[in-house]
Amino acid sequence: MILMSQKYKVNFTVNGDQYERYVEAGETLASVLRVELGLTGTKVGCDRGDCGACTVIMNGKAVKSCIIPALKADGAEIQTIEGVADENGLHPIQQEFVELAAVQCGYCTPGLIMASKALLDENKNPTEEEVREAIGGNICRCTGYEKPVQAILKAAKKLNGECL
Amino acid sequence: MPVNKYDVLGKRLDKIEARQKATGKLKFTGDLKFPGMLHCKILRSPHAHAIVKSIDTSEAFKVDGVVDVITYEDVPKILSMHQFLHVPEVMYYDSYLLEKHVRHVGDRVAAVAATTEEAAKEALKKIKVEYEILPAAITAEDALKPDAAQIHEEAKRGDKPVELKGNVLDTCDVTIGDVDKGFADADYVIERTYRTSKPNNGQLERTAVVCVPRDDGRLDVYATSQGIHAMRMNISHSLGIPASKLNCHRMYLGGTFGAHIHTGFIENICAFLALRTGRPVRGEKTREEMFLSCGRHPMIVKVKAGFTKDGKLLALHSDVTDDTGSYAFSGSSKMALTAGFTLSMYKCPNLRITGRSVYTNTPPLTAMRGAGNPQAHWAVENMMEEAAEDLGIDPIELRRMNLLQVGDRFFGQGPQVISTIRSSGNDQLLEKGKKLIGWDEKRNNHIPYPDKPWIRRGVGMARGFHTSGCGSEKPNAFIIDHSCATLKMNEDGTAQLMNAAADLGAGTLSAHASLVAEVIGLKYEDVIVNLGDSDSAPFDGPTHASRGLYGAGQPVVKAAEEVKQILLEWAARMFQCGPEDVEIKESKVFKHNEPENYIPVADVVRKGHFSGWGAAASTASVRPKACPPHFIAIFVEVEVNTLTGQVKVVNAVSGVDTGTVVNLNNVEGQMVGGLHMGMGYALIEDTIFDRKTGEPKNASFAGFHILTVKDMPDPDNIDLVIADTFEPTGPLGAKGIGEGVTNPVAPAVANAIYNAVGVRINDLPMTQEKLLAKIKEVEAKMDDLAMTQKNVKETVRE
Repeated sequence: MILMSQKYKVNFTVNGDQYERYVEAGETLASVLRVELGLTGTKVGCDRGDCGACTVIMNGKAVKSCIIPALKADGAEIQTIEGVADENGLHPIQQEFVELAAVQCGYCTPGLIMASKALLDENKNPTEEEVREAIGGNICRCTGYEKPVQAILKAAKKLNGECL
Repeated sequence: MPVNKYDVLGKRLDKIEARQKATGKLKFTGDLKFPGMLHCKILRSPHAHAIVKSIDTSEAFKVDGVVDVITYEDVPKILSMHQFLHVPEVMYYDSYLLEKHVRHVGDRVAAVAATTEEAAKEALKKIKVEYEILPAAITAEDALKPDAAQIHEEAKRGDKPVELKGNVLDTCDVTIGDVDKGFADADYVIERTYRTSKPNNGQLERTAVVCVPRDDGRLDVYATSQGIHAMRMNISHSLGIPASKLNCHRMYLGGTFGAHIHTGFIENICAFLALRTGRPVRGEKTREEMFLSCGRHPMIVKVKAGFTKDGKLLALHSDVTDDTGSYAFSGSSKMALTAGFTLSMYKCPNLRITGRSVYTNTPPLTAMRGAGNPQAHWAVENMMEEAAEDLGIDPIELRRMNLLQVGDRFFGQGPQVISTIRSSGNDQLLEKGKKLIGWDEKRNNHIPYPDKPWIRRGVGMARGFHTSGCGSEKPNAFIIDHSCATLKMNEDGTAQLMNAAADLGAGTLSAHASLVAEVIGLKYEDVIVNLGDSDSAPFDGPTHASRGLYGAGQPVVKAAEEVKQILLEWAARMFQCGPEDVEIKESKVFKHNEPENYIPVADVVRKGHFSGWGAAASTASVRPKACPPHFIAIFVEVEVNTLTGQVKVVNAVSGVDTGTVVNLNNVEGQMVGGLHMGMGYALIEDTIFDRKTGEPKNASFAGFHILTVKDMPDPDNIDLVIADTFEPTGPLGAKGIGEGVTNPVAPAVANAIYNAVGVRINDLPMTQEKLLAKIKEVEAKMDDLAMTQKNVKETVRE
């Protein structure tokens, strides 16, 4: 039986680093990432899974971390926005978001980038429809989605080695 | 596209903070953490209108981790305002930090500060409150009824008590010209009533604040604010402490769209708790609390317009009933603005506005992209379309013949803010938009799929404007519009800008960096913009009214010109020539036509600073003397499913007249973003409150829908038109853009729906249900007509 007030041990990796944490049953993955690990790049816009700002990649799938119980992350491999760029610099999605100004206020940006990265990790050559589907659960109040869609499609081409 | 004579302006440049945002490194207010930080939670009223008869916090204090609990008994007895846009004399003071008399579901009853958020939430449950429930008025109509309960017993306008008659906090009645004569002379008069909805700003970042006590007894305030000086004035007033006791930090903002022109109470409450406890106090609203604390004012706009038979507008009277919610966050200004903006849409000699602003038992409403202007556009641009049809004039032509022209007088914020139009791209926008949407081919071609005749297409348009700031030729007694900037050169050749304008996400600070680079001749990446704080940045009004570039950009240009002059003089000394003989380009100084013999700007700064020639720095201060309209024309093509009432925007043209383009990326971002928000206003966005109890019905993103990527036209089907104009009063010719791009979208969609199915919905939003009902009504009439005709024919035959 899971008790709300009791703490349970979970092990998971975030951006390649191994963590062991004790979490309560009601605690969300977003809260553990932001409060416990200080990874505030993951944003929380609604705390109910409605807006997608908190999207991270868990075991290869885009998930809304504000409604994932931290207990469910036991044994999981998690990637957050902080782990997307590597020593060679920005990931092509990030690069295109910056260059095409798909970043406006930037609050939904980490979620959009994680949702689209999960897509491109799986499908290197998505159609525009597939891109729209992948970010269909992410609300952006600034861009009208035009530039994010263009940035994701352009990043896909770059990842495929197409000369742009 | 305009011809570009600039080195930096007009290009696509990365925003200065874009990389930090795309990597998750940028700290927004809610991401900040301080040692010993407490978490604040607010106990909110479950009733729309009630008096707190008794309140017992003793059990709450016993919760582990609770440090402080406060109620109305503990807060300063200072009637307070929420904004600092307007001059103090016209602002409304009508609230306390916490209330005994609560006026909407979600109003502030008590506040807790605890070591964890969970403890604070737990403590809220332990506070015992006894309410005396009062009758509530949820709509403006209900609040205006003679027997409606009085929502406020006291309010001040400036330092003068407001005589509250019922729930009306202010009225207006202004006439210009002779309206009666205008209507008497008119060949055609149209009168319509339009209603608008109550969308929520819905910015992704929730209101957040952290107040951190300092060793010197002062308080650092980090908050989601559109104006650090305005916030300082608001907190200082409501707490009764000197402004200098507060240092408000500029933060990047995750949206706002006007919601953070105002303080949203938690800022002031957390500041108060931080001073009481001596510990940092953090507050962040939940999404539900966001829905209970801001939004666009719903209006009832009655428009009466008189035209000659050739379509010349002779008289216009707009009457506005403004629902301001439970507190006058915006004062009565939205009433005056909506009414006033209707006067600025077209040239008309005889004008009258009347209006009333009304308190209701609903959450306090704020500015939201357009400050009363989307409501004005909704009324006027629907009316113009109906008038055009009645007069038998092409709707674009009717608009064109009544346009305000360069040299015409223009009311920027209603009749109190008068400016003269000096640039206009209206003709370009109308001509190009008409062509790009395929107006002539599509206006009479409604069946795109012959096998699906129930799907009908239509095209429509609407045009309009928003002001760029609130500057008037003479200083006005209505709104503060003044900006400053300090610019200094560093010894490595970089320039550092210190100002107080807010970046709401549109790239305002990057635009300021572009202006500095362009004026001095520096590389864009050699300009640093300090986030800074109210301790170090000179005064600026809040960033609203599309003034971030136009208004706050003017002192940036002025300071850059002054710094450039210093650099030229120093370089001239080094070159042993006159300052008129040298120029600066790409951060290098050289004599005209001798770019190869350059001195890096860094060397010039070092030489000047180390030789005691002075400091390459300047502080500039500008009161803009105009508020030029940035004109907009929106064309859309819609597809209406007459079986379901569903509307899809399939093609769109957004056209803007924004003067000089500073950063093309950002201009395009505003255009498509504005279209998106306007489409939401047109079709789905509204916050719903139970008409009896005032309970919110859709206070979440699951209930209040924001259009997703799937609702938008294909990127290839959105055309962007940027007029080639130069605004003589603007910073390097620039005007605003942020609000105008939304204002005409809803009526453009309405006019396209009418073109598609012959149905007009006068109250926003044009939901599927409303549209379907109206389509069925029309079809029934058509059936009746067909039946009658059939009967007549049969009777004749008999």
